Amino acid sequence: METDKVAEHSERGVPEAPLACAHCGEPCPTDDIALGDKHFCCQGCKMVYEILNENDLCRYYELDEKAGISLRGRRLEQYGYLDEPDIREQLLDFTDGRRSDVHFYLPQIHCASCIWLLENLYRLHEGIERSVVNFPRKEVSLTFDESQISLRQVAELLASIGYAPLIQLSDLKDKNEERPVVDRSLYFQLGVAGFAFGNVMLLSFPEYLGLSDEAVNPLFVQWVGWLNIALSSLVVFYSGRDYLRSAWMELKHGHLNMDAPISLGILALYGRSLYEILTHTGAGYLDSLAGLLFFLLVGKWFQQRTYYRLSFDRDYRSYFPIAASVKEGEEEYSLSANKLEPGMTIVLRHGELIPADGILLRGDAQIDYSFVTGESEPVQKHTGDKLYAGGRQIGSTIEMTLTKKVSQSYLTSLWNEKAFDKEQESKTKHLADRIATYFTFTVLTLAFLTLAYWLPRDMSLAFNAFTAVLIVACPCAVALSVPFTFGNSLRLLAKKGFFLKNVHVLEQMSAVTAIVFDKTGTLTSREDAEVHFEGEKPLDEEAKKWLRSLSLQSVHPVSRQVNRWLGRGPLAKVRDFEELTGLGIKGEVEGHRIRLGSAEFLGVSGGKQARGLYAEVDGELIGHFVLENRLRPDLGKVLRKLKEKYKLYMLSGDDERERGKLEPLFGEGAELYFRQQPEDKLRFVEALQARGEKVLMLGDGLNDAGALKQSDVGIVLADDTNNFTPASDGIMDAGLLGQLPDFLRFAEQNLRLVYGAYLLALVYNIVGLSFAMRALLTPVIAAILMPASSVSIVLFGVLSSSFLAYKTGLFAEKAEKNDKNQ
Amino acid sequence: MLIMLFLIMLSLILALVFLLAFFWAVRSGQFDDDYTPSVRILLDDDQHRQDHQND
Repeated sequence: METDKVAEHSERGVPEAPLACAHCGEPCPTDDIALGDKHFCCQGCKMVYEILNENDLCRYYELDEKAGISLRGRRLEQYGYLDEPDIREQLLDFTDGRRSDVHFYLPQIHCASCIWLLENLYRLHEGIERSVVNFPRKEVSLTFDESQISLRQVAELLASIGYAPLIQLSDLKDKNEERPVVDRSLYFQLGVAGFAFGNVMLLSFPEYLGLSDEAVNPLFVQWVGWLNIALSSLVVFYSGRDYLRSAWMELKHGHLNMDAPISLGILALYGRSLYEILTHTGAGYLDSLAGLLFFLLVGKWFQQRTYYRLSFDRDYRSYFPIAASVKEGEEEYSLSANKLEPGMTIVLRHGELIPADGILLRGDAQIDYSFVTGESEPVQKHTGDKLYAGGRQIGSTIEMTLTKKVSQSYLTSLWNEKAFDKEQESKTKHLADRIATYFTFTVLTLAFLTLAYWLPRDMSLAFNAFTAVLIVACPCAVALSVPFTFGNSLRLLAKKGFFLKNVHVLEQMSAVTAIVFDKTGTLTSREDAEVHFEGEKPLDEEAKKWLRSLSLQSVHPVSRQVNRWLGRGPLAKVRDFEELTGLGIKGEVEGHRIRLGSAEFLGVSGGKQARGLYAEVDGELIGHFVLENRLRPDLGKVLRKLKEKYKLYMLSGDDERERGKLEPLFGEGAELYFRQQPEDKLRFVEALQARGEKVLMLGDGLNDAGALKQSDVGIVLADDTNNFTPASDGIMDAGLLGQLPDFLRFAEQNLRLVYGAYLLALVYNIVGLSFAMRALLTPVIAAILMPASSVSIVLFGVLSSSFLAYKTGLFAEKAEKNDKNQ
Repeated sequence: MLIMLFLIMLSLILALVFLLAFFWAVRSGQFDDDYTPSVRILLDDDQHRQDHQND
């Protein structure tokens, strides 16, 4: 079995001061693996170096010092399923039978060297014709020649140099489903609007300066008029079509959104101008019209910034594997996960994910459910036990019989809940849309009042004033304040490491009344554990040295944590090192036989005590290490701060073991619930909302997915933003948890800024209306007023939110590492 | 006045050329990834490197 390769026998020498690996820069646990004067931390790194060296690609190491990706403890990815015709077909972007295009997600991409190496892939294999890296997306697009290299070989080639493509179930495209095309229509609309805006404005100059008199130059004025109509028709019906369409759709359902008054303004401008030009009574307001749409689209573009690789709407399919190895008789073959049927027997190796519910047939199962249920420790299962989808097998290879399809498993059926219906999306009206309702009615009332006033006095003036009110009252400034104020704040937050899905989330955040926490992975860190040693007597320096040397050999997370706890210090040579997957490690150090591992490994009997990592020297138990989930730093302070303003709750899938530790942090009266199933969490949030609370949920695992979706603001805490995150409204760097109260306050203050901008917009509207209602709105006044109000709102929005950010000191130091994730 | 119309048409056509150039740039994906090209330009080909060494 490939996976059992982790267990190696070797004699390793340990240098006093660890050498840095020539490939990945990590300290080498031994000086045995070398090539000339270059040392490597593992065979994997050495192999990559050799491949690159042979092909004259060693510039890789010159461009960036720590370019290489450590291969220590990395499981060799299996890409056998890429030979399956239907999987292949669904992954390929294009193929003509000979030449094929494909793109892979390579989470390892991290520096300029990566770009260089991946774009020089053709030098490693001549079947590869072209490779282009998209760095922010961490993707590589490849064109390859099928007659020389297969898709599987391409993936294996990438894996062999340390860039193993990550292929998930969600990458399988349904054949009938439209392939997602990058939506670039906004750029086109913006381009057209900008083009028309400039030209119409230019053509209108004679009009502004009073130089165009139709009596003098009838031909010229008419020509210009027609040109303007042509240009602005493009703007209205191409660039502005989304506004018109959205307003119409909402109107059909009996709602008014912000696009309604905007569309009203656009149509009034367009209609009035057409009338004036066609009847030779004036030049119209087409310049204002083009400008209005141009500014609106710029606002839309500004707020619609995407964070590339971060995805806010992933479901379980982005977490699940694309294929599984099915066993039939003695034969094993890979099958796409969509086609797995109950009754099939599948084989799972170390580190693989259970794709669907089933029953354990054979093997020693240690299932890590932490991402699925929130239980922090792996669970031991026996033959005949039920295994749930989403768990990860640790240790040896197991076989299981499926009882459910992938989409109907216990965990995945969570996605059939109501909360995941697309319809639910617009459950609350956004601020701008709420205002739009009042706005539209006020504008229409004013317009008709003006009409009623002028009608008995002057027919044509009445019509002029009526349309002028509609034009001037167009809430262009109001529509711009949210995109620019919130949009700018979103960028600032993203720079800090807190990514929000869209501007509306910021608005929702300011209304939150209750906060619900998940435990595992949210309050506690998934990777970092608190270690302490319990034994007859404390560890002496000698024993520490032995354990340190032994644990350095293993890359298992537990060994690493223990090794970190032991700290830096002298090392000794380890002989006969052996790692028994899922059990522990052993070896001989300075003549002593040392064993480190689970209670089962060392044959220790013990009830509750059996959780730790036991250490044995020469067959004698010296004690055990206890690893506890480490609470995130500053947690107590944060919770105290939040408690002043919000109701706090905690929902955990784990048992009550840590209640005593958590209760004091939450303080009196806090509600902590344990053993919560994914569905319970969702129901709990629902119940809070039924009581009128606005819920902010902080979670991280698949088991929180339902609750995150249901809550008003669902935020995922991620230690590494490249990892899978369930669907949410925001993704936050886990290290920022301490600043949550500040972020919430920032959101509230932002809302006040938007109100300020609204006030400013109102002033412009009143000034404009005073002209319009007196029938004095000339094209020149409109042409000045409209851009002036737009530009000042944009400036106000961007500057005030930047100033606010500066004042709160939230963004004092820029987190450089997050730049790459944007 | 005819010359004015002529010039206006000329300027419009010129602007249209720029618009089409913009369309082409968007369609060819130049606005999809605004980071990688900035790195790529700093990576010389090996050919260049040898030239430098010969200097």
